[in-house]
Amino acid sequence: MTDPLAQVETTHDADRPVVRIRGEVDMANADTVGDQIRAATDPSHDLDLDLSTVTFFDSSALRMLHRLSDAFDQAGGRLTVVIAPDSIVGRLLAITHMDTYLHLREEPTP
Amino acid sequence: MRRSEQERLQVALDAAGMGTFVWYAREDRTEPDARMLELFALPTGGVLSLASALTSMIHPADRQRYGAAVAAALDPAGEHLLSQEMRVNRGDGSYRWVLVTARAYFEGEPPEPDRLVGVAADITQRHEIEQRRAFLLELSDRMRPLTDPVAVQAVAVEALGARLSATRAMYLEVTAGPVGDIYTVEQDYHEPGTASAVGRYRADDFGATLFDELRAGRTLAVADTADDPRLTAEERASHQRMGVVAYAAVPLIKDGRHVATLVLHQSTVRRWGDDDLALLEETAERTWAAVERARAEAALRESEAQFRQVVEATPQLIWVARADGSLEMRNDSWSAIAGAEASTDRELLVPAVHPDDRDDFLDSWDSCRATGARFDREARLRHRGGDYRWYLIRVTAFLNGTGTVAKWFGMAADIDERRRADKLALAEQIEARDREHRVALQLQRALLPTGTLVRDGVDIAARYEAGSSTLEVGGDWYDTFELPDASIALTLGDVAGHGLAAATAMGKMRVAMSALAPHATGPGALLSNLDGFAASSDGIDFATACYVVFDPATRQLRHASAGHPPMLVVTTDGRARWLTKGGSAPITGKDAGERPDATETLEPGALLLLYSDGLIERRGEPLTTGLDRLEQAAVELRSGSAAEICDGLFTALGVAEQRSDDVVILCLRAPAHPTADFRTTLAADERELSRLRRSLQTWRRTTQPSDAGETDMLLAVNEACANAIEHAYRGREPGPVEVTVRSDADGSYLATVRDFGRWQPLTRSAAYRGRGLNIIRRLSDGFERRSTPNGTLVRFRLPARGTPT
Repeated sequence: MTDPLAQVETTHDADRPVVRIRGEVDMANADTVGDQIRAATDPSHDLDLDLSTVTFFDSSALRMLHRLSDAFDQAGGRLTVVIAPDSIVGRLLAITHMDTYLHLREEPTP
Repeated sequence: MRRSEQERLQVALDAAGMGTFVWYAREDRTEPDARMLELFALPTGGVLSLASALTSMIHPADRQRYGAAVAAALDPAGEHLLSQEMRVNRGDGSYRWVLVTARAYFEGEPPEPDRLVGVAADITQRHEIEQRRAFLLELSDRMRPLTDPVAVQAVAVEALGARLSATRAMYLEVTAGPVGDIYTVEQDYHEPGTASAVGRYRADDFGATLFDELRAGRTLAVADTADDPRLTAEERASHQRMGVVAYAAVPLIKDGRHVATLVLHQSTVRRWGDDDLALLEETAERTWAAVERARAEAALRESEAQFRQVVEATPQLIWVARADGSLEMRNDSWSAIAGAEASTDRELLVPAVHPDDRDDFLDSWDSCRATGARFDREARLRHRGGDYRWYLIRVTAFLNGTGTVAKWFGMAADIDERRRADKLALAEQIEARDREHRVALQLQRALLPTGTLVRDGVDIAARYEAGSSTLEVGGDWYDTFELPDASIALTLGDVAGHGLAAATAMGKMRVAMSALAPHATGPGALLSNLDGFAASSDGIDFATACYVVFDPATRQLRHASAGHPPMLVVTTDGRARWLTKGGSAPITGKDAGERPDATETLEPGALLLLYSDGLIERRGEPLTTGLDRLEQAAVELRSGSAAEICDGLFTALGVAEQRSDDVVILCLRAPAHPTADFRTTLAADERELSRLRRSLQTWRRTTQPSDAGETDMLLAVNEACANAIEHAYRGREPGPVEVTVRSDADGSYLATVRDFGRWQPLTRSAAYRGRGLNIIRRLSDGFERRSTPNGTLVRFRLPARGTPT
């Protein structure tokens, strides 16, 4: 078994939980990553999803993100997606216009 | 007493020179032994009584004292002891000192003095030695506090004359005159009624004989000038005229020279005793020493007074401290300085030193103190008004004979005006230099190209960093332009010098090269043309330059260098080589003859680096070290774009930190064509995707140094493959997915993804789907999809620089 493409880390910021994804999210692991995030979070509460350390993202990952966003919207939590400037995630959200309905916050890769 | 005991006692008394006696008080009758009679100058059988001793034998000055002492010894209530020293006449008018020691015995009741039993001894010699010593000690004590040499002489002759009852006593100082020695008497002693001898004399005045003896260092004693056979008739007459019948003289010889003589005169015949002469000699020696000391002190006082006058008059701060730092003096100028009420040099100086200067000042001063080295430092001292002025402070150690510090001599000179003037001059100088630097920088920017030539398939970049402000702008230049045959020309060079002149000269060279290049038959010929150009231009005394003509179609390189550091080639697989051919001498304006060039073919995607020496030169380091460093850095950075390589080299070679001169780099990457297409086949398995992306990225970097558009390629190809994996083989045995990417000459890429399955219509909601193809369309041009029963083909073109969103 090779190393998983991505790691999901849960931490807490000052006032809300933060989930950070490191590595690549594609068709092979998007559903797993989505399950891991859901297991670690409560969509009725605010969450920061930090994608600034993501090195690859594809349409499957966007689909996972879309579903997650819908779940938070329905449950009343606010999902904020943190992206690095000029990153692959940012580019993908822009060309698919998903940036128009997600709550985005740009932060440099830590 | 038994007879034997008596005999033994007599032997002891004889040995000590002692006489014995018994004196009966009632009769004033003495029973003396033979030695006792001798001591009192009486013949054998002579009668010795107290009365006769007190009337004639004992010195008149001692009679009363002796009589009283005898009476005291005979007092029954007293100690009963007698011990007296007295002078006793020898019978010839001279006296001997006699010590009488006796015990008194009493008879009857109440007790009446009966007799004295005692001994007497001649103590003349001891007494005279003691007297002489006492005299000399007293004389020394009297001379010591005197500061005037003449007063010293006066005291000496006065005391000696009185002591020896001479008619006259004088101290003659001898100085060398033009016609023989001169004898000077500053002060003499003379008995009342005798003429003073103060004056100046020549040797003849006293007589040649006398002075020959004195010059030889011999003490002279004449008892009677009338009959002394050593004197001539004239000398005798001369002495008689002065009333001198007897005389004694002691010369002082110092360093082989007769410097002074102490003389006694007597107006009557006098046989000088050994004691007299010994005292005279001793006195002479002491007088000389005291006179010289007084004279040296006077000279010192005088020089000290002068020193003080100078010191007080000087505007500088002066102080003298003892070895322990306690102050001996400081001059009035210190009154200008704050807090100068101090008892040590440290207290004097340290509170006045500006706090910012203080630590360094103290460190330096302490270390000088420890070693005795001269302390020399500039520091600000606070004036009473509170303002600070700059001072130059110096402290010098005075060493004593053993090499240890005796005193510290300190001086502080006000150098505030000078410091101010220096600072002003420095500021003006810096400002002028800055101004010139700014102008040169502006000129340089104006004279250098604003960008590099843009050609498809060839990546060119340059980076230029001007010399720092303190070290001024230099004369480096670079240029890129196209020649009529569509080949690419690169020039890079360095005109010696700094500032405006160098910037102007480099502008001329750059323009000359681009103007001459189309007409030159080759790189060597162009550099030869520059020799003539430099000769006819001002300010180009020395320049190095390199010139490259590159044909992108054939990747052929023609190059020449005039004294410039070698160009570097780095291939995509990391091999590096220096272009050492085509070199010739620097351009100096002299005819260098025909300059050679060389031909080279660059590998696909290979890098060519041109640079100025500022990139590789480091002070105190051989040039080869810099070249090695450049090669290593270029190999590491080789996969970046030309611009990234330029930036990377500036960082890797520490240009920002090390720069002391202009630095310029020009980088060209040869086209990568022809490049093998990217071809891979993957199983229709989603886990294949990450491997695909990695191998595609690696391939792309071999075709394209820039990563602009790389993300787009990875996203688009990944989506195309994901689509095939998801749809082509649904419900069937998974088959292969073929991926081909071609790099085209214009920098774009044509991607083809092919499967051998049959796409199934979607059964689930498309709400979250369908983004994949959308993404590909957005990132590419000319998207097409062809489906046949045998499979589906997706093809799209990724533009050269990516697609702006």
